[in-house]
Formats: sequence, structure tokens, C-alpha cells
Amino acid sequence: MTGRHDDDRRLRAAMRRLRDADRGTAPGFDEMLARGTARPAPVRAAWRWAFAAAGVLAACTLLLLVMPDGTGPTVDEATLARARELSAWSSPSDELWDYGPLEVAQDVPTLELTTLSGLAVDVSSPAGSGEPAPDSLPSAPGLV
Amino acid sequence: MDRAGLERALREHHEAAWGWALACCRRDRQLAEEVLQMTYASVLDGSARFDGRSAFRTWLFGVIRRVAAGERRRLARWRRLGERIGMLAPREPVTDGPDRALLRDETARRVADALARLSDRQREVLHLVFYEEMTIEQAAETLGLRLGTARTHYERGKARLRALLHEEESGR
Repeated sequence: MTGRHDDDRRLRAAMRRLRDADRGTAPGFDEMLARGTARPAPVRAAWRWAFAAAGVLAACTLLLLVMPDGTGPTVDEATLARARELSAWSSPSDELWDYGPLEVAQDVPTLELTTLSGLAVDVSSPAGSGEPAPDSLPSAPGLV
Repeated sequence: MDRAGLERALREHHEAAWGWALACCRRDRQLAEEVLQMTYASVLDGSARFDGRSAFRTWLFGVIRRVAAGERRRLARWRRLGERIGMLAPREPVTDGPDRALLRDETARRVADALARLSDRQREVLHLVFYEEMTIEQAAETLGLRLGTARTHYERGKARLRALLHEEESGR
């Protein structure tokens, strides 16, 4: 215990020597104060964010200015001519699609309820009951 | 506190503030001077405000510590950037501080060398307790640490400092 206290005392004494040495070489208060107040004020965090936002905005504006105006890429005449030639081409078997006077492909048949004559369709019985409504068949709409 | 009062308080604690700035800047005198100037400027222009919730010295030491940490980070960033673009040669880390030559007292120099080999936290706690003669509670408050954490840094730092000084003594 005493050894430990002695150690502490020695450490304390050694640190005091360091402190005295530091204080002997300390710069003067007035000099530090004068130099400190003469420094330009540090930029505060809020201003830093504002500068950063302004920078990003300027970069975006610059990007928009130097970007093409949206009329699309320019294509040279040779490429255009080649594209026209390619799109005008048609297969020789395309003739097979020519039906002449037939109108089969122009008339799509439709299925109507009149074609269901003779079939009883239950449209009003409650779901799951299995029983047709008493007067549903004669007055069922759409059934002829 | 008005400006005159702040100036008086700063003047009163100037020497202690200088010692603490040196400790926070790993005994880099030039950096410590800059940190002290910035601290004084921020106290007087109101960027750092003393609200009287703690002792003035405790609060002032907290400001110095924050300013020093910010400056060290800023310098490290610039150094890394300089090295990356090849403007600066990689710098050797400062281990014993550029102010070593100014310490004519052999004991003081040995303590400064040994302190430089401790972790930042251990060095800070020992500085406040042995150099500034604060209690561990006051040191914990200054550093914003829990008392138990400060006590651990104190015990470990003290044991390491003692071993380093002993090692150095027996090596001579």
C-alpha cells in the first residue's frame, strides 16, 4: 500500500515538473488572444451545407446546359438510306396472305343468346340452392 | 458572462489551458497554439457559450478538447489527400512531440515521452488528475465520461506510465 502511494507521489511529482516546464514556455495570453481574434471566422456548419447545396445546384445547371437539346442523335444520310432500304423489303411469301375477294378474315362471327334457344338457363336462383326460381324461366331477360 | 468577464476568466486559466491544449495536440506546439487561438476566438465571439452549468475550467477544457479533435481530423484529412495526389511524402507519426527539444528538465522530458506512448484517453485522464490536480470525478466530467470508465482509464494509464518510466530508468 505504501509502495503504491509512493509511486503515485512520484508520478505526481514528475507530472508537476512537466507542468512547470510547460508553463515556462507558454506563449503569452495577449498574443494568443490577438492572433485568435484576428483569424477569419470559421465557416459554420449551416453555411457549409448551404455552400454544398449551391455547389450541387450549380453542377446540375451546368450539366443541363452542356447536355444535347433533346432532338435525338444525328444520323448520317448513308445510314438513313440503308434503313429505308431494309424497311421496304418484304418476303416473297407475303403473297400467300392475299385472299383476294374472300371476306373470311374480315367477318368475325359473334355468339348471341338467340343461338341458345331451347336451353334452360337459370339466372335467378340463389347460389347453391339447386332449385330454379318459380317464375324465372319465362321472364328471364334475353331468352327468346 | 460579458466579454470582459470572459477575457478575465480566460487570462486566469491561460497556463492550464496551454498545458491541456498541448496534451490534446500530442504535444505539437504549433497545433496547440492554433487550437488555443481558435478556442479563445470562439469563446469571445459566442460560438462557444458558457452557461454556468459546470466550472469555467471544466467547460473551457471541453471546448479546447473539441477544437483540438476537429483540427487533428482536418489535418489528417488534408495529409491523406496530399499523400494520395502525391504532393506530400507520407509523414511519420509524431510519437514524442516536436516540443521535446524545449523541455530542458530531464524528468519532464521522460514523462512527456512516456505519456506519448499511452492511449489518448489514458493520457487525458492522467493529465487532468496529475497535471491539473483534478479529482477523477472532475476529470470524468471534463471528458464527458462515466466515472467508472474514467477510473478504469486512470488505473490502467497509471500502471502503464509507471511501467514505462521504470523501463526507461532501468535501461539507462
